Amino acid sequence: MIDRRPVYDWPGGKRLAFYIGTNVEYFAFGVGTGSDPAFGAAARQTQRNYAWRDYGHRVGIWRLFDLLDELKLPAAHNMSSLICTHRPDIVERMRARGDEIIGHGRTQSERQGSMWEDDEASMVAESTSTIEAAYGRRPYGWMGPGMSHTPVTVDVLQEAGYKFLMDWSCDDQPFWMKARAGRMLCVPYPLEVNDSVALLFRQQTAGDFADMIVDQFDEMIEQCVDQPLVCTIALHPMTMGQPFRLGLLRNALRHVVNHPERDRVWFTLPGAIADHCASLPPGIVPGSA
Amino acid sequence: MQLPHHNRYAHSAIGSRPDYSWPHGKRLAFYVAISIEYFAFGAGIGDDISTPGAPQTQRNFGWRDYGQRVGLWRLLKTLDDLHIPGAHAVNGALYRYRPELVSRLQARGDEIIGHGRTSSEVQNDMWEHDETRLIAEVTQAITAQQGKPPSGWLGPGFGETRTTLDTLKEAGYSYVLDWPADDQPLWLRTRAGPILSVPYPLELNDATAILHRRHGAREFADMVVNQFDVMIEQSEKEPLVFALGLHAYVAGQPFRLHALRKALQHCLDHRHRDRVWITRPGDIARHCASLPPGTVPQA
Repeated sequence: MIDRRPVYDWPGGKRLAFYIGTNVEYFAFGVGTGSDPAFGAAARQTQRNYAWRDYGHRVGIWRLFDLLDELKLPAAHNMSSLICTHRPDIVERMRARGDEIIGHGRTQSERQGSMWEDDEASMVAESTSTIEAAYGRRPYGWMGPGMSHTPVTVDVLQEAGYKFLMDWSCDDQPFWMKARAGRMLCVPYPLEVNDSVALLFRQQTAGDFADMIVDQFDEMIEQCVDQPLVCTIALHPMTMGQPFRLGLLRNALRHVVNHPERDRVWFTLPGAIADHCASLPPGIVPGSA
Repeated sequence: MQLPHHNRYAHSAIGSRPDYSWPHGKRLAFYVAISIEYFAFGAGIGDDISTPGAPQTQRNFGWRDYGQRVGLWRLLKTLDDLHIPGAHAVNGALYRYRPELVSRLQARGDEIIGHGRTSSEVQNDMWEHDETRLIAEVTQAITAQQGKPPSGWLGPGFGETRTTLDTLKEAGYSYVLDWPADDQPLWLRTRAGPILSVPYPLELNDATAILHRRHGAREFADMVVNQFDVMIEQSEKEPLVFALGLHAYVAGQPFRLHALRKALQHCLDHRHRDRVWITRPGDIARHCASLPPGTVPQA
């Protein structure tokens, strides 16, 4: 119960940790799973929706990088490890920006939630080592493709050295989850303020989504006076990188960075949020007592 | 041709009924009901934000669990700030699994409405024997905690069998919220005597509007404003009930709360606010039960 927990601050006495999480995903051609702007999850895989998603790699992510540069916002990227193999130019730009990579499976064409434990452990190991080799830093945060879990995902991730995951969307504060060999921090990541869910599945408009960002931030900038919170905006380059959406996103993010109460905001990354929570005394973050 | 009929109430058109007023001459009874639901993990049914009817996953469980961890407390603070009393449709399983949550509701003095065991199931297809046991179990759990039984019931998903109303009346309930057929209360026939139907909205309800019909947060806030603005005028001619149905994991999301608060504030600041009775469904039911027979439409 959010209003009955110990109160703490983010570094520098800030109260609202804000981060942008993008999803940079690699897809098989014509097989597996993949979103579609017209038919949602029910679509079959075609060259049409493959190309629409590939727009994200060719154009969309570069527009988002430029926008984030302009606003001086860092970003965390939930990234398929096959991006390292097939789209090294994107990884290079992330490195130049100093962004964080979050483990996100090998490809978005498969779902983690239906794997055997052995296959899941090997998929986690493979995607982690690929990112470490390409980026020079081992990711320690994870989001499963499609935010999907098996009954042992938390255990497998903890045993693979991960410190936090972002798949549960059940809180506006981090909290500790149990793993069979230790614990795992759950860092808030939105299922709703997420262009994939809002725009592709719920078929809301770009204007609706921009309003969601503004209203979410405006509400949380007041709520955070009572307790430290995390406000996250989840983006996909093939969706928000489209020009007609980009302009509205720019306006919404300008509203955020120019907010009169912006001194309450810690513009940060999920790894830094996890590091901070791990440094707090037991009993502060839920699940740590 | 004789079609299947529920035989619970007779037809009656608004405008042709006896006039009455709410307490102190008020014309528009206004209440907000929050559904607080407990779900099985990975089994049964439960809402999904992206695809209605999607299989149960950790993802949609986590999203719904937000309601108990965060959303509910945000909604309650908003109601407190606006001086709106609380009325909650509560799954009986919460008395077992979330004792701290229900203790806080009790300490607030809010009205508790029976709302099944869990929203992971619906009653519609139950045998009468099993449904009777379900209603008894829930009633007992609430009574043990509250010290008195609930007077109202809302089935998960508005679900009823052909005998739900009879069973509820026999279990001591005085009203139900499952029949969105009117803007005024009406009496329903049961084998054990009448039970009152208090209006509860299928449409002005975040689950229907936002999850199933996929409206945006600001559209839903507009619905609240427009519903209120029309009803406050209509209520000059007849006493009406404005009811708003919310779910902790839907309306409790910050971006929705932001728009909803403005809509509720609009209602409370209305120039005809003096026509409004800010109340709870149990109080509406008690008032109707006190009126002379024939005032509230008969079964």
